[in-house]
Amino acid sequence: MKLKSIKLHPFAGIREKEISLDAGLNVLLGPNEAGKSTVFHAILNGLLTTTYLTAKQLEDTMGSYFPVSGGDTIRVSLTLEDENESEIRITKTWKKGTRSGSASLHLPDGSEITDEEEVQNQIEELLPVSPATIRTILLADQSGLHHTIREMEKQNPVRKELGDLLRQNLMETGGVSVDRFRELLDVRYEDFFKRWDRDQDYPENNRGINHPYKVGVGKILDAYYIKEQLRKDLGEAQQFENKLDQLNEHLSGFINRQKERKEEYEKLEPLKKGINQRKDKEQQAENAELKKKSLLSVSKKWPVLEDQIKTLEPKKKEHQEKIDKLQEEQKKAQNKQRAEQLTAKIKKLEEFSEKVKDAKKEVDEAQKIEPIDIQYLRKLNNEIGNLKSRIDGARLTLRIVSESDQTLGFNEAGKSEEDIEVKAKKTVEKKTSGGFTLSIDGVKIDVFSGEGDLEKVVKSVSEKEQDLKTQFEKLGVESIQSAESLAGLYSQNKQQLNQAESLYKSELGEDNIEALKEELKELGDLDQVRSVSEISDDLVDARTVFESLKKDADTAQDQITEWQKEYESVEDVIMELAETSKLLKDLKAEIEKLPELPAGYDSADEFIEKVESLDHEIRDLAQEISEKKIEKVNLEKDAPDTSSEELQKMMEEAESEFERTHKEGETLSKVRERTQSLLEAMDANTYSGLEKSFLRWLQQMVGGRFEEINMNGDMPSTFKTDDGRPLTYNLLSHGTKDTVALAWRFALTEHFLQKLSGFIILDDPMVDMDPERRELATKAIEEFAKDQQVLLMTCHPDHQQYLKSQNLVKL
Amino acid sequence: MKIFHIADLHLGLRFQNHPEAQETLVQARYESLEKLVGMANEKDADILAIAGDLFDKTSMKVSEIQRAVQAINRFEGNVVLVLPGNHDYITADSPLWDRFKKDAGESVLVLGEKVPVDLSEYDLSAIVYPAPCHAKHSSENAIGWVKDEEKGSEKIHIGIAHGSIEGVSPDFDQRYYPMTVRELQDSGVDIWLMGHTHITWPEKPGKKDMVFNPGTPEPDGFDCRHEGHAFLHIIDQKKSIQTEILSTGSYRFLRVEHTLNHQSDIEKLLKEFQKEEYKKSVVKLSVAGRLDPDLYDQWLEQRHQIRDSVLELKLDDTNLRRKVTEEQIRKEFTEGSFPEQLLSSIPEEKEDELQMAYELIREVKG
Repeated sequence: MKLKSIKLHPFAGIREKEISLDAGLNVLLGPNEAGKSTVFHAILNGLLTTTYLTAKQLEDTMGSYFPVSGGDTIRVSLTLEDENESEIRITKTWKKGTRSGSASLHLPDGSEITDEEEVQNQIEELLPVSPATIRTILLADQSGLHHTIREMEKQNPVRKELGDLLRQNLMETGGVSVDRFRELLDVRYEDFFKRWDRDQDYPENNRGINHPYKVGVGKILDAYYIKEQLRKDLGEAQQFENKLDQLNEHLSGFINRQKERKEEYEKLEPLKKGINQRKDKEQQAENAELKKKSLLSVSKKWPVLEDQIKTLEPKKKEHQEKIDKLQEEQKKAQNKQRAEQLTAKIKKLEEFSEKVKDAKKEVDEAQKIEPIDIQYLRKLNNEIGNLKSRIDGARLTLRIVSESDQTLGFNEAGKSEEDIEVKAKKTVEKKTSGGFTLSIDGVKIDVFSGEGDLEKVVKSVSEKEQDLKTQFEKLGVESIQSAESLAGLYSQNKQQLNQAESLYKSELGEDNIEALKEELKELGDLDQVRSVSEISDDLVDARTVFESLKKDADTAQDQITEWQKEYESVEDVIMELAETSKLLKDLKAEIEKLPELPAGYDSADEFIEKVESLDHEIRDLAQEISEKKIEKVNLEKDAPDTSSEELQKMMEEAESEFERTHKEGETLSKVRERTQSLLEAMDANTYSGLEKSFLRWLQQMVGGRFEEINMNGDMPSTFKTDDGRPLTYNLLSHGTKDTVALAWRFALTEHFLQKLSGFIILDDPMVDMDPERRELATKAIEEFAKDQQVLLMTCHPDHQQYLKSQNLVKL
Repeated sequence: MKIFHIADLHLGLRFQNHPEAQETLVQARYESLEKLVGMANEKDADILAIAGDLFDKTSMKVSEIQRAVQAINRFEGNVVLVLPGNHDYITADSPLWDRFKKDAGESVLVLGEKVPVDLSEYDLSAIVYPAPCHAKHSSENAIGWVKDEEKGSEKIHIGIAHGSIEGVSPDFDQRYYPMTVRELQDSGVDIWLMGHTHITWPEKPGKKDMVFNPGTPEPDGFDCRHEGHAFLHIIDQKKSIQTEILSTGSYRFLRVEHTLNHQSDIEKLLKEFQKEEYKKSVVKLSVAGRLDPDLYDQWLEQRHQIRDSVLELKLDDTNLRRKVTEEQIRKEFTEGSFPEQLLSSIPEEKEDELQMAYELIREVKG
């Protein structure tokens, strides 16, 4: 697509002018204000601005192109040539007023379109790049051209890789700074989400409405707090209202109940006094009635009892006498018993006395051998025995052997001397006890055992035997054994005597037999007396009857005594009875006059109790009411100033506002995420061709100046100046900036057009270049113009001279 | 007999969610009461009946109560019947009504008890059967006692009650003294003067109707679709009732929805709001649609005109979008440039995102 011609008829300051253009390089030369800018805008609007505009839109977009001299119409005609060298003609007329303009499009096939919107659509279809690209790259005006550089300058002091820079530059073509956009997103994101935990969808750190952040909250949290505060307020208002309702209900209940009770009380209370009196009188009447009854009974019984006592007295006497008699009889019966005892005792004593006499006789007649005698006998006998044993113990054996016959005198101790005839050669043996005296031829030989007292012993034996013999004779016994037997007999008799005597003594006791006999005699004859038990039975019977009679009489008497104490006399009783009857009558008359107990009450007590309980209840209720009223005043002190209904509405609105804000925030965060992922996805290679192309053009235009461009592979890593310093764009001289900008324009144009053909407008691109640089630039422009149509505008006639093959248009 | 019947004025509503109109709306309700009394006088009404919720809450300031009473005292007819409703309910211990009664004129009756009130003292052959509220909520209505009252035929029997009516007003939880039309009809009175429901019912009163609910006389929110109503009931000798609906409100709450797709739509909408009636309206305006970018800009620029022409505007134009099409993007952004890439990456159906991204880009572009 190339521009063949452009006609302004009229447009801005140009009344009518047609410019023909070549396919390659065209130089539009003219001083400032000569109309270069007008031609530029005519082309731009001829291509991109619809004629279908409201008056206001027309004023805004095209207003400055209407001639100052006057006129309500401006018009631009463009002739284009497409890839097939076919012509397309466009005519656009803008007229003041709403949608007053017109447009026509002649297509290569000869068809014509005049629908204004359709014309614009078709033009945009025919253009090799998007309308925005045309505007920002191909038809960039003076300011557009330098935008590239300005944006690059802004990177200072951050040094960037060339690739990044170019990439950013392209991305920001059209004036939208990525960083600013990102910054704006961050700011907005903070605006929405500050202190909001998106994961939990809740305030950060769980700081809900009860512990809210006071400052620095985002819109979402703010809306959340507002809504939650309202929810809280609503809850409180509802709670307050319900509480108040409840309180009022209680209060009304109490008040109504108090009212009812008061009414009832006022109805019943006036009766209370009368009913109370009636109660007392009735009680009195009841008492009087009881008294009357009792008096009546006393008055009747008193004489009866008196009669009864009179009747009982003789019977009592009769029985008393009977008892006396029986008691006398009983005494005699007791004497009889005594007499019998005495008789028996005396008899027994006489028997015992007889036995004593017999025993005495026995004792007197028996041989009197006392135990002491026996003892002595036994002693003697023992001593004799002992002495004899001693003598026997001193036995000696005498053996005599003589040569010749001899006669020897031999005297055994204690015995008479004898002669022993000893024959020669014969042995004579003599046994002796104790000792002996042998007499031979004048010689006396005493032989004895021991110390030789045996003789005394023998003598003692004989004395004692003599004594024993004497004793036997004295006692009239032969032996100890018979003595012992006689002594036993004697002792036995004596014992029997003792026994008989003690029996007698014990039977007699303290008594004296003579006195006993006397006593018996005195008791006289008692044969006719009955037995004690017989009399006792009669006596018990008599007493029982008597006691019963006595009791009856006593009871009657006691009763009468009591009555006497109380009333003195029967006459008094009768008088009191009359008084009581009168009192009763009076009471009944009084009761008649008092108010009756209302229906529904069983007793005056019940009624009075009811009145009193009403009174209590009324007072209790008054207390309750006053308490509730205080409670109510306290509650109402904190009354919310807005009703729950109104708060409900507000809360609902705040909720939807929160939802809306939340949703808006989420949308924002999606845009933000999308932006982040888009930027991340763009890697170094995205625009690699563009970078190569830029470098090619730059190197062509700077000649040797950027020999030091550091290459990383086939890509430059950094620019370096001649002295080796890394180059940032603000260090570029103005002329160098122009060079860079031009190279970037070419590169971008190539990038967008690719194989397609198009056109670019360059507005005085070489103003600030030094001659050397300018020459290099013109060469580059010429080279670029070989492929693409170039419209170069300049106010410097000398610049034009550098350019060789060109279509010069003078404005 | 002429009864000027109003209800649910809700003096003391705070309108906190209408910050701009708040003061006006709060005052409007008092002005409305003054106006209503004037209307009742103009119509020569014998009775001014206020069927509950004259006040929005029981905790009214003394000065506010006095202002209301002063207006009511200006009624020139025979008697004013004021029924405590569920917002201004009466209790044994009720500072609101104690204050009210203290300042009220002799012919102003506060109907605080469920007892018949003979109006012969006010030269009217009528008996009133009030059903006052004693708490904000109650699952039982207050009219039960009325049917048991002996009613002679020579007088007019007027019931006055406050609470929800089945089928007319929403009361899902049965918390607002619920009544049925049947129950009301069976209570033996000649007319029921109702309050509580903010809509007007019946919409077109006919000869057979005897239960009347005028609705609020001054609109109080977007739920109120009418302009504020009072009833004028005229009851003749034969006890037949003729009811006139009177427009009484000064301010309105309007929900307006519009679709803007073309310039003409915007122009029409702007022109619509030039109408005088909007000056006293709180408007909730929802606009939707797709506008070309320049039209959208035009909208952004001009929408304030609407705000200027209404009492308060709640504008929701989140559903009005700039038309951001692929073609649009091509026209505006260089190919390969960041905005072009970003916008192209957002599917067209994600309008929110597209719109937001676009607006943000424009903001950066400046």
